[in-house]
Amino acid sequence: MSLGLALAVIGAAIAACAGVGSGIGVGIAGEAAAGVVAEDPNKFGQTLVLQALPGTQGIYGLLIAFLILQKIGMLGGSPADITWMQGLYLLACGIPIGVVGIFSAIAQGKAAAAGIMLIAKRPGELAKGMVYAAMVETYAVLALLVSFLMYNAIAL
Amino acid sequence: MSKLSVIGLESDKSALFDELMDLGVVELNDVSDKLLSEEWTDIVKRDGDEDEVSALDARLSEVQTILDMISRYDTAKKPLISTRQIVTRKEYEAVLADDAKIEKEITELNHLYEEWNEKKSEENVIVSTQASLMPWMSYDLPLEAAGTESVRISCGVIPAVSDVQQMKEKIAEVSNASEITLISKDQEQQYLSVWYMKADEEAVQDVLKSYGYAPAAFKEMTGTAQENMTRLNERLAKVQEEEKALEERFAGAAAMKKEVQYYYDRLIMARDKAKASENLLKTKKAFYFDGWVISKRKADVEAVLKEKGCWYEFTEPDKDEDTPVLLENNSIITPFETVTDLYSLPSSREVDPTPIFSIFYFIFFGMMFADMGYGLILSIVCFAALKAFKLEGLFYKLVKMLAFCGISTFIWGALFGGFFGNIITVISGTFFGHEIVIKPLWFDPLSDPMKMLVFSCVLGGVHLFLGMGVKAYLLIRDGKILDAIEEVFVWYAFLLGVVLLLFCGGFFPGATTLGKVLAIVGAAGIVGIPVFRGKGIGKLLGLWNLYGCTGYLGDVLSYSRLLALGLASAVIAQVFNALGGMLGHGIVAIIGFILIAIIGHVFNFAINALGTFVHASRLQYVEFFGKFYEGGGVPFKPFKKNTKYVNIVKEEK
Repeated sequence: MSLGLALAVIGAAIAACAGVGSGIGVGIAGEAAAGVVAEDPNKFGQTLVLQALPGTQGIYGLLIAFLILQKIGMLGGSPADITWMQGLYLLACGIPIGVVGIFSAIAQGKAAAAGIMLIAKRPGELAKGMVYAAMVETYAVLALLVSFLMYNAIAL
Repeated sequence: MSKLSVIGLESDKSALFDELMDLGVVELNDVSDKLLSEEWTDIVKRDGDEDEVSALDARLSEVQTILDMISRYDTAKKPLISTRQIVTRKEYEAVLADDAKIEKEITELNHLYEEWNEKKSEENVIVSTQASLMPWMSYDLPLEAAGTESVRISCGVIPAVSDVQQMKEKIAEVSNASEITLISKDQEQQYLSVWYMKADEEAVQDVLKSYGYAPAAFKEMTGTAQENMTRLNERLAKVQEEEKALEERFAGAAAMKKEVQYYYDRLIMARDKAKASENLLKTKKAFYFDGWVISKRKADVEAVLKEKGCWYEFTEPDKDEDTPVLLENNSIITPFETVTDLYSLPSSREVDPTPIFSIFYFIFFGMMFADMGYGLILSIVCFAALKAFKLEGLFYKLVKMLAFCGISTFIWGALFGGFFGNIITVISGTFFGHEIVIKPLWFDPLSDPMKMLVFSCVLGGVHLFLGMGVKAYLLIRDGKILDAIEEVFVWYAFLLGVVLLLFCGGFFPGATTLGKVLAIVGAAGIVGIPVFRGKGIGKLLGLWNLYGCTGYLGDVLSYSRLLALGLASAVIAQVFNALGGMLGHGIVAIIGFILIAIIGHVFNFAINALGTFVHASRLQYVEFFGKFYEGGGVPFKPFKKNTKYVNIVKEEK
């Protein structure tokens, strides 16, 4: 196995690390949701929607990791022969979504938890809580885009 | 909305309000402010019977409790979505015909509920007593034993951190004879039995206190802890059995559930009618009220009022007056009111944004979800739900909107060539050895993302320009033409100019020059107009405004999520297909593939449908509404039949 391949796999690993943020974010929102549902079990559906929102960064991370692994042939069982420079390129692709994903998902988890508190007091305002959380996600979406455009620009 | 004022005779009131409730198009105004002026208070006073309202409210909550109990213990299968049953008035009255029987049943169930409550609290007492006895199970003396003539026996607890051995020694120092036994210990406390001579009482007590000793309270229990526990267990079993019998009685009452529900709805209507009277002013023989009527339905209200011989007057609201807001759109646009409702209704001076953004919502949703398979599922499920259940209100609109969005998802899926990701390619390649690729009707964003990015931003630009256009329309409507030029048209010129200048050089000759001119004119307007119109430091405001172009840049780039979320749903679908495809050939692999595909696509569908809904809404709320929309309208709340279980309709003729 070449150095380039190893570097590319590290890139995929970094991208997948966005899941760390999603795990924490969904956890934070889940704690708040459980507290609200303890008072009013009917709010389960609404709180679940908000809890799910910080989960997307992990998916974006998975997406980029998968694309990188696919490009270098790690999924088909026949790894491509790539130079260390190409590997380094692919490593760089994983960084935006990996790093932004971790922090934005944690922040989004907090915003979602606040949104859950909002619907505890005003059940009709679910949409506003969702929009506050979605504002945070914008930056994860942009990072995903950057990662993808970088990935797409590299020809092996 | 039109304003309505009515004066009628007290004797017609009840019948009139029944009819108005049936119509459900009149909102009654609060009369409190009228009662502040002497002009009114000299001749009228507030109508309404608070006692009646609160009596009905109390009865309502009783019946509600009974219904809750019935549905909790009724084992019959409950419908997935509970909707109001549609009945004609005749059917409704027929169900409630045997009034006395229903009332008797409700009274009886109410008694049963009280009994059940008592049993429940007894059960709680027993359980907590048992918990407090647990640590003493190995203590063999009767709990009530307090000692002999000269020996004191005391049971009590000290904190877990206290040193029992040390305490024993200390007590031995002050007392001639003592015996301290550690019965049990848990995380917080140590349970002790302490024996000492009555003669040493004070000295021993002092030592005990210094270790935080607190006597245990056994209330009136007699016999050993073991005996008590057995007794409590027996009692508990009996209480639980009795509870069960009561619960079965509630489950049995499910046969009467329909009647009780109808009765509940009748109470609601009676309560609302009694409550409506609070918005009336009355003299001895007449009443007065005012309110809002949906303008289109004026004729219906007029007919009723005429028939009852009331005096009435319709007036149109003043231009600046706040009226309640009711959105009215055709059946295609109405579902998209969901998005407006969830944000905030337009104020009565604004236009309803729904018809303007609904087409964009439709397009954006489809672009972000973009998959023929997902679109089909979404549409089929939603249309089936609409068909199977009589949904109402916001939920109805939401489901119908999603059904439409499913169509859009299908269309974009066809344009981009997605059907459950690339499931057909994977299946044909893995199991049949010959890859079939669905050709996109337009292009595949995965292989040409830049094209998609540009398309997203252009679409976003159109959306934003439309939002600015609405703002210009509102300003011009209000006669503020200069404001419209300053806030919208010079920006149009500037932004269009910049776009032409930077990106459209190759499209047609002279584009760059035209762009340059437009941009300069626009920039001059943005900087220049405040110089003429502003005062003091406000003259320089234009320079600051020019900085606002970064805001437009951010807004347009925000539409790149159309690409990013579209990629997410497509690529994650492919991830699951690829995972399934890795299993190879054979029966086991096929079963594995099917399992992975089902689980994976359900997951991807759910998470992306949610994300798409949220982000499609966000683009309206933040980018589009941000350009012109204020909201804050008060929803129209007509006096109508606010029933929970039945929807009473007029008999078909």
